[in-house]
Amino acid sequence: MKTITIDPITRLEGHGKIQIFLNDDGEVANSYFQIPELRGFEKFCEGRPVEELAHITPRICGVCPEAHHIASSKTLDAVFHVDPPPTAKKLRELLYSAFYVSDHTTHFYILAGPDFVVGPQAPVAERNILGLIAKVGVEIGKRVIQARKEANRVIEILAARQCHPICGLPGGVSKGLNKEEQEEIIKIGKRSVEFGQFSLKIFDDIVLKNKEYVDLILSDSFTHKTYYMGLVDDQNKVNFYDGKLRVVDPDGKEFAKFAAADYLQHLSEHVEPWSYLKFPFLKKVGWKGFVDGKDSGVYRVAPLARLNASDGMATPQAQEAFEKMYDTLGGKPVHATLATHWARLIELLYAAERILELIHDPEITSDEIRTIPTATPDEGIGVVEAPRGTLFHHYVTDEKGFVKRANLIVGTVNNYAAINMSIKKAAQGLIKKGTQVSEGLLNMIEMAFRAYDPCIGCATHSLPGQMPLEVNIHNSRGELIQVIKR
Amino acid sequence: MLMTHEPKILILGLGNTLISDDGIGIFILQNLKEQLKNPSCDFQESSAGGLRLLDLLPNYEIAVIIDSIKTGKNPPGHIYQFTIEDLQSPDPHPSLGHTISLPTVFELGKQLGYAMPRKVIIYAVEISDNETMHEGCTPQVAATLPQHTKRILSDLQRLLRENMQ
Repeated sequence: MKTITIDPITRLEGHGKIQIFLNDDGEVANSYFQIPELRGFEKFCEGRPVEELAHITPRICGVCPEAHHIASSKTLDAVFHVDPPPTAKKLRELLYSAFYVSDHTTHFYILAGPDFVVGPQAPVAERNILGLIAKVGVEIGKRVIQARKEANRVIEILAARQCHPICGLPGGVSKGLNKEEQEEIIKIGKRSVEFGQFSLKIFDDIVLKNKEYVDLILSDSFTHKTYYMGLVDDQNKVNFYDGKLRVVDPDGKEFAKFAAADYLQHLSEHVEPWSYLKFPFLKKVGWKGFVDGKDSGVYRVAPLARLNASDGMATPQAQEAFEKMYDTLGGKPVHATLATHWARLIELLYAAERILELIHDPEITSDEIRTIPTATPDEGIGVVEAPRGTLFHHYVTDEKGFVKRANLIVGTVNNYAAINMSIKKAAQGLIKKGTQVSEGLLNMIEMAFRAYDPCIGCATHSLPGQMPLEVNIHNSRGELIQVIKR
Repeated sequence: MLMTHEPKILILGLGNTLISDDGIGIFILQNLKEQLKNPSCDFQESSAGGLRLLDLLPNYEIAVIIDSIKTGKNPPGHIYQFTIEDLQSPDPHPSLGHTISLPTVFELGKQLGYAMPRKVIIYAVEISDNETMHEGCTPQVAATLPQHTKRILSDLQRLLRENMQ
C-alpha cells in the first residue's frame, strides 16, 4: 500500500475531519480524526497577571467556561499557596454541580438523544432535538429546557454572571450566598434530582428495553479495553471538584493514584505528524500506538471512565443507579463506549443530589469565603473533572505573579487517542468492500466519537454556529473517492 | 403589525473578543451601545452559542444579531444581512461543536411555545482569522468596524421609527 502523508489541521478552517483510507480490498485500513487547534494560547497568557487566567481561560470556549473557571481558581490557590475556607470550596462545588446538571442534560438530550430516541439510521433532517421533541412530546421538551435553565440560574446566583463566571479568586470566591438565594437553590435542587431520575427512566424505557440498542451498545465495534482515569474522594467515590486521580487497568484493578501536582510523573504526550494536538498516554505503560489492552498506555476519561475508575457514587440515588448499570452490563469495568451515555445520566443524578447536599450544609451561607493570599506566587497545578474528562491547568509565574508559562490539558485531549481508535474500529466494522458510505452509516461511525462528547468548540463561534464535519474516503492509492460534508 | 407601544428590541453581539476576528460582533455591539441610547433597546453580548441563546431571546419582539461568518466568498470585512430563513434550515445532526445552530434555536423556541421574536435581523461580517488567540481583529476586518457600526446604527434608528408609528 502506498504511503500517504496527512497534513495537520490548520488548513481546515474550523472543520473537524475524518480521513478514512481503504486497502486494496476496499476495507478500512486506517482512519484519522483531525480537529483544529486554537493557536497562541501560551503566548497570549505570557506576561499577564496570573489572576487574569481565571477570566481568560473560561473564554477560550463557549461550551464549558465553568470547568475552566473552577480549574483555574484551584490552580490560583496552588500558585499563591493558599487554602480557601470550607465555605468557599463548597460554593465552588455547588456552582460546579449545577454546571454538570446543565451540561450533561444538554449532551444527552441534544447530542446523544436523537441517535437513540429518533434512531441511529433515521434521516438526518429528523435526527436532532426537533425530531426528538416530535417523538417524545413538547411537555418533555419543555422539562428538558427548564432543567437546564434552572441549573443555569444556580450558576448565575453563585457566579455573578451566567456565562463566563467571575466569582473564583485565589483563596476562595468573591460572593457568598444569602438565605433567600439558599431557599431558591433548595427548590431547584429538588427539581433537579427529580429530573435526574426522570432522565434515567427515559434511558431505561427507550434504550434498555430495546434489544437492538443494547446489542449495539455491547457490540465489538463500539468496545475498547483501555485504562480509565478519574478524580476520586478519599473513599474512592467519584468527585468532580477535588480529590486524587485514580487510574484503573483494563481489568479494573487500581494502577495508580496520584495528586494532580504529580501529573507529569504519570502522563506523557505522544506526537503524530498529522496532528498538532498531542496524544496523552500513561508514562509507566508507554505509547504502543493506537491500540487497546493492558500493554498500551492509552487511557480514557469522562463519564464511563470516571465510574470505572471509582468504587461508586457518593450520593444514595446515584449509587443505586451505578450498581444497576454494572449489574446489567456484566460488572466493572465496562468497556462499551456507548455505555458512556448511561454513565452520564448517573452523573447527572449525582450532580443534582450533590446540589441538595451542599445547599443544606450549615456552613453554606457563612461569609467566611476567602483566605487572603500572603505567600509569594510561583507555580501551581489544578485539576477538576470537566464533563468531557479530566482538565488540568498548570501555571508558572515570576515572584510578582506575572505568567511565565501556562499549559492546559483539556478533557477531550485525554481521550484523543481513544476517539481515533473508536472511529477506526466502527469504520472497520461498517465499511466493507464495495460499500457506498451513506448518511446513516456515517452516523453510526460518528456515534463512536459522539459518546465522548468531544468538545472542540474553541473556534466555532462564527455562523452558522456549529462546527462542520467533513469525512473523506480515500482508496488504496490515496485518491479521494468520496466526500461527505455535514 | 403597527405597534402602539415601544417595541422591545434585543441587540445581541456574538463572538469571542479573545480570538481575533471572532470578536467583531461584540466590538460592533459595544460601539452601538455607546451611540444608541433608547429605552426600547437591550444590548447583550455572548460568546456562547446554541441552547444558551434560548435563555436570552424569548419575550423580545425584535432580535438583531451581529456575528461573524467565514465563507471565503467575499473579502474579510464584507458584511451580510440575513433573515433566519436565509441561514440553513434546522440542523443536520450537530456532529461537533456541542451546540445547535441559530435556525434550530428559533424553531425549538417556537415548538416549546416560547414568545420568540417576530422579526429577526442577522448581520454577519466576513472574517479571516478565528483560530488565533489575540485581543482585537486583524487589520483588514478592524478597518471596517466604523462603517458597520454606522450602517447598523442607521438601520436600527429606522427600525425604531417604523415600529413606533
